[in-house]
Amino acid sequence: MNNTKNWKKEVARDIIALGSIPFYTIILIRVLALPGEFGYLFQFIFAAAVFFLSLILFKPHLHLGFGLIAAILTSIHYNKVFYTVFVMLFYLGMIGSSVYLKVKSKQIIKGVVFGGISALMGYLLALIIF
Amino acid sequence: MANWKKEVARDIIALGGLPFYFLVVIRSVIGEDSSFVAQTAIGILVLLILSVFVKNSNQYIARGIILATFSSMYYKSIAYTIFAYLLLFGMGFSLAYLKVRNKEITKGAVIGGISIVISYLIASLLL
Repeated sequence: MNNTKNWKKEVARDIIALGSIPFYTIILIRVLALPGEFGYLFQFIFAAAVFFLSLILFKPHLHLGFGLIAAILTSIHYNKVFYTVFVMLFYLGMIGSSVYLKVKSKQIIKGVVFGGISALMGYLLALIIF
Repeated sequence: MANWKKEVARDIIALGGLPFYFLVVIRSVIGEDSSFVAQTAIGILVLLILSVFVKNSNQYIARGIILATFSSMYYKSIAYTIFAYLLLFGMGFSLAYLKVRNKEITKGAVIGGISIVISYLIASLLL
């Protein structure tokens, strides 16, 4: 029973890590390798900057925020229903995993809200500039 | 401070986790990268079989090596390859930091490497 619980916790932690800074950096490096996609690259950079600001001011859940930014911006870029549905299911998995690992609901909500706002602002800022 | 470091280490290790592996494979299905999909899909199956015979091997580092190698071969970018392998070394250090035994890490790295060779050959024969 203990092993099962441990196993579940490890998987939950693995899922939450899809919103981590190392994962976000991988996406950035991957986008950087795409030729002529400066607008797309800066969507991520601006969104991260906005989210870091919200982290200082409101302390939302880091992983849920970065996870939502990545989910939204990549979905807009790929523009494929299958991918969007898949990524959103994964994101719901991240929220579920956070609940399972007993993250406070207030922090979860703040992560989702500020992640969404940051993604939107990153997208719009890059759209205006590029 | 120690807790913060442990969380970052755990985040890095998760790049060899099954959810991340699954995400990468699905992403490449969308990108219609058939050779990459075949290599990674066969790679995880080969790893699964090898893990039955090689007990107490670290699966995170094994999957991490498979992903780093096949994605580097796919992108053919020096910058990406350096970054991917730096992350892989980071994963090894993170595992050691979280007190995973060296023997377990080494076994994982070895069966990950063997899985790469076998799955690459099988995928080349199939495609």
